[in-house]
Amino acid sequence: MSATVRLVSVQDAYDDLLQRTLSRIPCEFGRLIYLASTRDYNSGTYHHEGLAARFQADTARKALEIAHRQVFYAVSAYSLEDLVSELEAYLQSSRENPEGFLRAWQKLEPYRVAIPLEANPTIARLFLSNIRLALAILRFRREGHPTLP
Amino acid sequence: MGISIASLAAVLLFAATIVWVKSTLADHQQHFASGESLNREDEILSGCPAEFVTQIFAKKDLEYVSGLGSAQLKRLFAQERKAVALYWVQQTSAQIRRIMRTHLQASGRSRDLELITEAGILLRYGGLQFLCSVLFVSIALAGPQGLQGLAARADGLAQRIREAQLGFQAAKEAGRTHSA
Repeated sequence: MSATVRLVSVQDAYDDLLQRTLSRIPCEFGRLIYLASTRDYNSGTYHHEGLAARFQADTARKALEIAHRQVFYAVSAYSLEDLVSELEAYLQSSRENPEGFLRAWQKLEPYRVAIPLEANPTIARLFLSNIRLALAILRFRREGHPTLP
Repeated sequence: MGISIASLAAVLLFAATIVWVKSTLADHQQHFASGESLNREDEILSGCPAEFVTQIFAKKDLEYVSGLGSAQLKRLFAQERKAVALYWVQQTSAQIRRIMRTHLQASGRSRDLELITEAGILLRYGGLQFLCSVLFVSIALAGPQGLQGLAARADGLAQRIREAQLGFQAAKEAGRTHSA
């Protein structure tokens, strides 16, 4: 397969992923967590049943990887204020108990899995630091004090 | 008076050096734990995008946190942003050191060295390492906010060294292809 044909099909798979799946997730942070969840914890490779059925598994994997990286950089570039709003929207869409959610996220730091494998290390640090701050701010808003982890 | 200022400066410089060495060692250990190693070849020639450097050193987030009216949150913000800024300085400095090592090894084997270009790269490298030291001490003492200009200058210098190395590599490749 030529490189051009391959690039076009990755672009097609990427567009398909945006239209069919990612557009239905209400916030960017939710899209980030969703994309990270399509990655296997052990091998670090991405898999999406529907996308792999419509395109080749390898093409689907590449499209997921690109989408993950793009959404990660978009979220990392948010100002702290915007990130707090995003996290709040994600918290509401999860329908979990807010106190339990905030406590679990501060203690277990599950957002660490949202970092793509090849992410720039400084941006990864900034992302983790901003999430920690956003969680403390959300907790401060609810409880009147930040309750640091 | 002059001697006491000089002594104070020496003490500050010494303290900053200890902080630098300690945090570099701690950082090195953390690399093994988190797997955020910079040893990959593709990472060597790519730095942190300028928009993120601006974000780390900008005042916007600090103003937002200050507006929330919590001293504890403000302290947490100062601590977090300082750590990220120091990490960026260390990464930039270490990355350019690695690029220079590779460059010096390659240029040592090269037969058609351009002395003016080489001197320019070395000058930029010296300037960058000096800027990184100034940034490190300033961030450690007062935090990263307000150092945006200095950070942008260091980032610009680092980018020019990366580009010079890429140009050098491309020229070497072209020379190899031409002779083959």
